[in-house]
Amino acid sequence: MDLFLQQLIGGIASGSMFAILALGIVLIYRSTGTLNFAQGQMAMFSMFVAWSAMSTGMGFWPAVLLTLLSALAMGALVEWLIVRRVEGTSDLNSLIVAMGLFLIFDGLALYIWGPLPKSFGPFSFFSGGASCVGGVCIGRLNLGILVVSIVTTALLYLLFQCTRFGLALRATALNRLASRLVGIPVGRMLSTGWGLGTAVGAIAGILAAQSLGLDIRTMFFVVLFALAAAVLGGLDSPVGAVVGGLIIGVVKNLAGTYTPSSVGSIDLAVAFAVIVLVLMVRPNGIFGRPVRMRV
Amino acid sequence: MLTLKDIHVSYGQAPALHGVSLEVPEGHIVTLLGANGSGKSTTIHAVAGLLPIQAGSIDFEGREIAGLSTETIVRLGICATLEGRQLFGEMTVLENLRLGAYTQGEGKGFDEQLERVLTYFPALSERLELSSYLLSGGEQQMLAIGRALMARPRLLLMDEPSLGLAPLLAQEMFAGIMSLSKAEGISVLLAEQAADLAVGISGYGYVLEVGKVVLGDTARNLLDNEEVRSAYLGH
Repeated sequence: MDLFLQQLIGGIASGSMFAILALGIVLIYRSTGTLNFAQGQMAMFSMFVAWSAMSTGMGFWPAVLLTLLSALAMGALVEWLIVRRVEGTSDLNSLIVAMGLFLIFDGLALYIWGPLPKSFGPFSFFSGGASCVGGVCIGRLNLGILVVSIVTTALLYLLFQCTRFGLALRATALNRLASRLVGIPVGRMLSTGWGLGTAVGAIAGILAAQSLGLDIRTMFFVVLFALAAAVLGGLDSPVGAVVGGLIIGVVKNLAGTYTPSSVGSIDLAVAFAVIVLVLMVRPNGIFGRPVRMRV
Repeated sequence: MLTLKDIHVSYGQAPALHGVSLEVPEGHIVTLLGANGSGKSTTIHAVAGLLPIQAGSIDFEGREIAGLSTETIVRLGICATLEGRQLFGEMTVLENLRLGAYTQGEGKGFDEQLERVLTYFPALSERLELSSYLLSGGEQQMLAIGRALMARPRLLLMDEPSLGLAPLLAQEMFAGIMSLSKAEGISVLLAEQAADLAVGISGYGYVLEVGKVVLGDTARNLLDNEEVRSAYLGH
């Protein structure tokens, strides 16, 4: 039982990291309908920005703040400069744009920071002794990831549900024509959606680096799980992204624990099998919005 | 209050309006008549800043508004309700009304305006927390108008407000628009297929044919005009 609880907590922690990155993917998808494959590489780019800031002697938290602001600007700029040009043309075009972004950020990071891994964390917030209740323990790293994920999710929830600006962001995602009619500056909202999504991705990247280290490929696997989480939860649902991330984290961890080690990385296969099963029953994802029409 | 001069609009290669000129005097209701595709909706969209205008000018209270963004036009005091109502379906009635006031901020003025709007549409006040797609067609139309009113417009543009409403309901709605326009001093430009009701509450009317105004007159004269009656008013 203790082993089960232990693995459950571990799964929730790694799942919350997928969830945060998936949240970023959902924010961007709701903004311009782009399934942003480049989310992982944009997060990786932000991680390098944080690394550069810290290597000039900046402290951890100021570097994080600077990184988030630069990610916000970077995402907004990408929407304004690139995504807006192909919007509303075809899904294929937005797919190609996402691939292009992947290559741009991948290449740019390689050009600026080179191919060698950097030492980046774990920082003091994420290291230290484990906390135990009964026989179940949670390591400092997992605890830190959980705390950051919960705070990030809560702040986003407050922004979207309790502020006028958040209301306008949601309105833009639901109905652009109606948003224009009530005088919302739609273009600015779309840029903001991309900016927020990119900043949230940067947070996920910094969390991932604490256990995975920092190099150009750090986010490859993480973004796969995050994309899967977003699809599982429903691409247009932030709640779905969080739930999807947690499900994938937990299933992956438990599958890894309770299958013999001789079968290797069966945990991935089990996690994706669960996704396929769920999507067979709910093609729009768990919280996805079925297309609803009323004349 | 609103003067269109020689407005040209085209969708891609196809011209939709070629040289529409008309006028909405302060405090009046003006109806656009015309068959499907005559350019009524296009005219409404053009004034609301939802379509690029190729040529011509739109003067609103002495200011040129052709080419301005919808956001700016809303801030200047022109709000539109469109065909299909364009509500935020998944949001509650109250959230829709809050968004209507987006350009106004949400200070003390918001509560006052909300109360005022709800006195015109009391049915909405019992459904504030309901998702708007659950409303009946008539209630949705009320919400669309109510949402536009939240921005305190001085000119209201309405595209086919009676579409999809039962005749009795449509009649009620036009009566509502008339009393609202009088009480609040709001001018109205509306495009309508169910034209007899609309002309009935209007001061002036314009007849559009393939993107051009072919006739403009007082509502009384239009109602007396045999040709207009048989072509557009259904008697």
